[in-house]
Amino acid sequence: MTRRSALTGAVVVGATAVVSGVTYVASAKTPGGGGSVQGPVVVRVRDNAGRLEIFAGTRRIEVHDKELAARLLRAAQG
Amino acid sequence: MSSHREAPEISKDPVADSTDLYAFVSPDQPDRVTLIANYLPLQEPPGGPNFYPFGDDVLYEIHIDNNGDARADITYQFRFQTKLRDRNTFLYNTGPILSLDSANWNSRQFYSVTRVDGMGHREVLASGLACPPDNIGPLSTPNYPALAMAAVHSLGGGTRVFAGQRADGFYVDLGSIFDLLNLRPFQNLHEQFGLNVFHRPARGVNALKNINVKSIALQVPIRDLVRGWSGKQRRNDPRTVIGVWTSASRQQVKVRDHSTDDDVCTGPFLQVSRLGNPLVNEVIIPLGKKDRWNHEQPADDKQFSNFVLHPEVAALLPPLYPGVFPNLAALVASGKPRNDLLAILHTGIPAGIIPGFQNFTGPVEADMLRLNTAIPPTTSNPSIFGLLGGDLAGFPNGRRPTDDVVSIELRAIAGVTFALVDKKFTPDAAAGGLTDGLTPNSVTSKFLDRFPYLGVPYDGYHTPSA
Repeated sequence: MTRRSALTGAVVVGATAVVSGVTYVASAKTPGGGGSVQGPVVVRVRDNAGRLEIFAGTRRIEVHDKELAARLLRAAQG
Repeated sequence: MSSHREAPEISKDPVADSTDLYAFVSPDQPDRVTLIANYLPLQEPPGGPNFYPFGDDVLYEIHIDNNGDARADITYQFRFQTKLRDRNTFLYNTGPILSLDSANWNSRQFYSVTRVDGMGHREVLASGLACPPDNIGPLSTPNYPALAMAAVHSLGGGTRVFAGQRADGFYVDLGSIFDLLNLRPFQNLHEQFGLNVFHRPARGVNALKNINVKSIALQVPIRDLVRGWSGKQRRNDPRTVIGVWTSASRQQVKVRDHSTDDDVCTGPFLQVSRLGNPLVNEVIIPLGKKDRWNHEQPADDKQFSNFVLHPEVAALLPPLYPGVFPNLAALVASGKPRNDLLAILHTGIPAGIIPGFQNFTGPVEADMLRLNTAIPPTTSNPSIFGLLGGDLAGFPNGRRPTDDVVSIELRAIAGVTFALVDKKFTPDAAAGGLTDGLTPNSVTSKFLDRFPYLGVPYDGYHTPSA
């Protein structure tokens, strides 16, 4: 895995997630509405500055958490 | 094609690929508008055992703008769900399908219809609506027309819906058009690059002959679509005009999961396909912008207006047909913007240009199919050339299934409509006769005179014929 693909790789982290410092980014379409997290959550590490995208339901949530990003990247390296 | 596989990205995603959009005042129900959005192009009828389901993971939408800002004031959303009765057979059906609840029908689809207003308020109009099966053959679907009619569902208040397979009603000679715009009726006049292959005219060939498509058809009372409904409409009232487009969207993330065979989709829906006027993304928008065009909203279409004002096809016709289009050649050389095409495709035609007609939605430049709902349907001898044929109820006043949009747009681009905005311009004699040589009779399965109007799909046993 290249450095770039590691940085942009998606990581499935389970059914629910609790995130602090959440910045809500308006979704393009929300046919099911927002609300509580149901179903899978996918996290994308955008860069090593701690920028994360969380995909849950029909939402995309942008989070800045350098520590979490670093932990995910370490986990992605196996 | 009108919009079949018209852009690089969507050509690889057929279930989300919009092919044609129709919007017209219903000839048999003149108080209602019919909206038809077709998807999933080029269905060869024998394509079993899976045939051609809608995408369970696709959000299909039909949008209506009724105040001229090119943003949806009403959206109808359609979501599909496939249900298998028996996972242990490879068969689509295990006996004749005589009804929509037939125990012999293994792979069925159901759908929901949700209405969303401009404020985002959502109302689920219906769920669990049955699609008809695809048309398999005389043993599997022995009475297909009745099956399909049973899948026309009332949503109450005069609205009804159908979602299922139909014969593709679009007719076009793709083989000639994409062979360097070599229209068969005029191929002897083509420049032919010195190859000297064609010496006489030929008839057009319908590339979509005996091909099926998936239709989402909706019939809605006019009062439910226009703003300021007062019970009586006047055709010069701007409130009578609606702008229509369709789109398909997919969730941003998909994770393939072979442990459960259920892929994971999550995140917001992003638009991957859209369609308003026919042939716009197909032949007006250049290759490098087509995917972008599919992702954008009509309200942001001003960025594409230059391609409408200076269409590539207008510049190609004179050199490809030497001596046939001298006036068009001069027009192209002048660099004058094609404000006629901008009106037809991006703003609607203002009052005062064509007697008794307008479908102007205002200054916002946006690709939408614009329908003046106050103009009654033409029930006696409608012209397949629509407005160009003097028929105010046809394209580009909305679009009816039988309208010859290929010829209409070819003629318009060749200069026929430029005379409407520049009285000094005289269109070339050939411009008014441009055609790819096809008519609605080029469609084998006849159009219906009632909802959903598109013909019975071809069955896989008889098509292709022996």
